[in-house]
Amino acid sequence: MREKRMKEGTVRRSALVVVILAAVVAVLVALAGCGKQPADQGASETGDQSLSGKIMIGGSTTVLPIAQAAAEQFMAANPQVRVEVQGTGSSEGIKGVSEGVLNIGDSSRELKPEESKLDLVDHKIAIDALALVVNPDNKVTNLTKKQVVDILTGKITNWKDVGGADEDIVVVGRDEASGTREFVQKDIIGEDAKFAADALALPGAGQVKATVAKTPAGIGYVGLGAVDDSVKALKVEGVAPSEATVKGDTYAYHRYLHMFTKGEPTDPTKAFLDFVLGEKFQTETVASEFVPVK
Amino acid sequence: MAAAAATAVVGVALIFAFVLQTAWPVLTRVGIAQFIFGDTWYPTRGRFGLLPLVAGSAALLLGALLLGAPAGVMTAIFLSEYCPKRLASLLRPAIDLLAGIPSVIYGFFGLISIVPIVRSVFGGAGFGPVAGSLILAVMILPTITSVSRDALEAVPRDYRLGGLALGATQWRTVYDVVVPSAWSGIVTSVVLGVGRAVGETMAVLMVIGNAPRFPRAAGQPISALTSQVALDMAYASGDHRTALFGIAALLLFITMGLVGVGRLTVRRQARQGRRR
Repeated sequence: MREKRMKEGTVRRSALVVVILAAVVAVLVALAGCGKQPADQGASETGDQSLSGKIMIGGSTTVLPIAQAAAEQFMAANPQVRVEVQGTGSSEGIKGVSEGVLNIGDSSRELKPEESKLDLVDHKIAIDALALVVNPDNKVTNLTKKQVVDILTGKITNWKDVGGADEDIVVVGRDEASGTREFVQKDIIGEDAKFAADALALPGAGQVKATVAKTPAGIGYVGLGAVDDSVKALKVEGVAPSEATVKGDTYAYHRYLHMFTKGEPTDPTKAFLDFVLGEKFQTETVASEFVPVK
Repeated sequence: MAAAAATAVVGVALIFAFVLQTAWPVLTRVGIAQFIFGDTWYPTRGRFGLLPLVAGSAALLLGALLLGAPAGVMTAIFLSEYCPKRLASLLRPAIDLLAGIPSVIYGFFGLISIVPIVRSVFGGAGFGPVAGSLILAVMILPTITSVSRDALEAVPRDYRLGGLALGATQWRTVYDVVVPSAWSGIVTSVVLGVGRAVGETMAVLMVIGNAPRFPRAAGQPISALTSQVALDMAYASGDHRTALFGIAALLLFITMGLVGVGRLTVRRQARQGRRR
């Protein structure tokens, strides 16, 4: 008997909780709905916070190593400035800098048409060359541009069709957030082409390398700076990827790396960009992974 | 105390409201049926069909359950009925430790060691449902084991003695008396395990290859609901971004369903307990 009464009490109480909950949800949805626009306007007016002596950098993970090295060296020379660097992907970088969350947005791709209206200033800081990497045991050493496209889009599916062993090709690709993938999509296979349906979509150049190193029939794409002994970089149209062939424009696959600012930069962001583009940083740091722009 | 409880409730309500509100535009534009049962996920071309992802998640879940549930329940039976005390004091912390390992480490382990094995056994890329299921099976093992073990250990000692007194062997007693008595607890453990597997993201993302296609071979890449959200969130914009919240809403409903099933079994267990 007593148990039953207690139970009824709980039921009534939980009904009350549900009603309160519903009210809270309704109010919140309403608030979220009408609160949006004014908040956005406020953000764009108070965007740049560079006077605080803090530089927020974010975006492409391809640019991340350069940005981090630059931040360390710049802070060592200017102890009153704090530089924070994040690697979140090119799109996030461009979004962040245009919304005023970041002072510099790193990107490994050009702006999309809808992004070109955002009043962003482009600072080209390095050239990234793209290497096609295969397992070191793969007999193939050279591909034509046509063969590269056919392999990545799944038209050629066996290594024997390009002079290799009779093995099904495993395309080791990147996820769609990747600037590297976007580079391949835009500049190599073409905007309208689709990647091979079975292509892997791995979240990072390191995973691509690790997978190709362990997959005899694998082929992947990574930045030239990421190539090491665990994989073999293919020649394209007879030209091996290297600093000389990229600068001489004989190696086909290369792109610029960017740091975007919202409007012309002011100090300390301007000083930081001058440092990145300076000869010392370009020859000593950028050159170790990428091809310097100067 | 009441305030603390309220925080949890309000938190859940907030998440629900936020996810549903954000997902609404794409749900109405694409249509809920087309969204869930459409057969192509190609968001950058405006195709928002979740069926390949649902199928991928289902394949992973089924594989994880087939491998993980029997292993987990067997482990629990061994620990509670057969295991010598000294061995148990070694095994229990080891199993508990499995639950504490961050999922990214499971993923990395899978990427480096399980994927190549799957590739050499089944061919293809090695990334896919089998590698994902294997990892998930290990990840849900501690949940299933510890909850099942609690249920088994809660079975009164008299039951076991009664079985043995009737001349049954120890295994018969376990099989016909102890396990049936603890059955709803064992079911609950499996439901909780499923819950863990459904929500797992990082480890899965690293070993399934993330190609949004229907599962078709052991070593060919698939994608799952959770991992697709995690991968796409970084760059999605417009309808694509809203569609990801649609996936989130679907995941929330699945989780809600699981919690519902879990509560139902617990309640049934309680009722049975009273009848005794």
